[in-house]
Amino acid sequence: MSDNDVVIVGAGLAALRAAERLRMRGFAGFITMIGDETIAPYNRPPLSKQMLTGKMRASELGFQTFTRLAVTMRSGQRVLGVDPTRRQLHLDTGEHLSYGRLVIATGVKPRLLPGVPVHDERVSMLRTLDDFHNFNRLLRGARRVAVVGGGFIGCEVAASLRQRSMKVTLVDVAPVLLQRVLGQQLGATLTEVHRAAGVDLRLGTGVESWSTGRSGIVLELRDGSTVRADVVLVAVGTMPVVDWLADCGVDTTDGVLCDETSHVVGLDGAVAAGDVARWPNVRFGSEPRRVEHWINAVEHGQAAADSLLDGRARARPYAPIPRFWSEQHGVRIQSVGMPGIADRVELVQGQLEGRTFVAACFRGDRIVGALGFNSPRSMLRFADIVDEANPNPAAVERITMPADPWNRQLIPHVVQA
Amino acid sequence: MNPPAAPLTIFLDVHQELPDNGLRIRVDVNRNHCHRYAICEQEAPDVFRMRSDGRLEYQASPDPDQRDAVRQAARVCPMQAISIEERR
Repeated sequence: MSDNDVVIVGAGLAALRAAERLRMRGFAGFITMIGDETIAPYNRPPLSKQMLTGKMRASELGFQTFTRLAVTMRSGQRVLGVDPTRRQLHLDTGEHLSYGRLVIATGVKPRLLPGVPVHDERVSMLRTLDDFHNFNRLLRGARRVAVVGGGFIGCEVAASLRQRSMKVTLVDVAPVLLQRVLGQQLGATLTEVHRAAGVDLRLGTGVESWSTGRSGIVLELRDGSTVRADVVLVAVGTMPVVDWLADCGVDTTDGVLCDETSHVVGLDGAVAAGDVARWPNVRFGSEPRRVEHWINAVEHGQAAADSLLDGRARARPYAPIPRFWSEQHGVRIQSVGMPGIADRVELVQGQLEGRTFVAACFRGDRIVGALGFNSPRSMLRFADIVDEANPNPAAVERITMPADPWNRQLIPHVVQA
Repeated sequence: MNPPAAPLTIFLDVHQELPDNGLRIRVDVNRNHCHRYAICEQEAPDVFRMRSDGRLEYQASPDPDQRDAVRQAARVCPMQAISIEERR
């Protein structure tokens, strides 16, 4: 193992796109990818949507890449710790694996809710393809499903199961669905969409106690009501996978703290990307934040690879306009920018009742994001508006990536061996 | 503070990736998968366009200089509905 070899911890979308970008830029050292699942990187969003409704098969979850990756996959393996001085990873296989540079892309895992009978086979979570197979198997023969959690996964699963004409009850402590993402007003609109589609909503309340019997699982809610279900999906948010980084000098409070270029603070020769990374997006201030969006995993993986190749001193800030989408009961929800940091939301196009609208999200006077229902064309325009209103301060000094990265003269700092 | 890390050695592997001159690109959008989020238009506006009736219009044989943009559109397509073939 030489200085030139890269180990990518994690084998999801950010990991894959980081590897692809390393090769695209001509990186010719070894790349090792370590993932605790037993399959190659795959597409997760369909697990709660097209896979559940039977419109897609597992064989269609692969990704197209545009170069030969030549990656050594260590599937079904887990990193237990890092020795930054020796530049070694400790694996659950007992091996000590040396690295030259490190890409941290371990993503997130489902959050556990205290009191949940996780060992009951009728209780499932949904993050991995294994989870999906388990959950989908449970659904065979089930009539009533309880979903605990009104975030993306909970809402999307509820919508998919209604498409399968199942009886769905959704429980969340928040008064409206997707509150953290959409806010009160738009969250209420989405809540109505779910109600109209026949989802039995129990909002503003939580699960007080669980009882598991032969005839099903009974959830006693804090509002005094009960929910009986054959299967329960618990989808109450996620936690960054950072336990393996304990005691190596990295700040793992809510993800891996990075500087604006995705280099990990306190760990030399390491970058982080995707759901697990917390970094300051210089367009939106100096506060480091995590962005758990699928498109961000692509762009962040690529940017982190660039940063790794360029080195800490020369790397450019990663300053995207984040984007996400979701689809529930035929309503396409899209977001650009950072609606989560807004203090005011204003309807600028369409009507909430018509389920076709755009809302602009302001922080003070500045538009920092936009949320749209069924308005993809307008969202293109708002992406440009948000981009202009939140310029990348580093863009002026930015060396633009050559359109043809293979033009030898244009590649910055090629080091001859 | 750690000293800044030196850039990694970069070797060019011309067998792996060829420059785009002389390249022919074929784009195909799976209409059953596409849900018209228009993310592709944001990435490659010269190739993909959402019409006012909400349908997607695209060039099946775009100019080779669109290669990087089209690839990125395929990468970030929410429905992974875009496939690309590249030939000399």
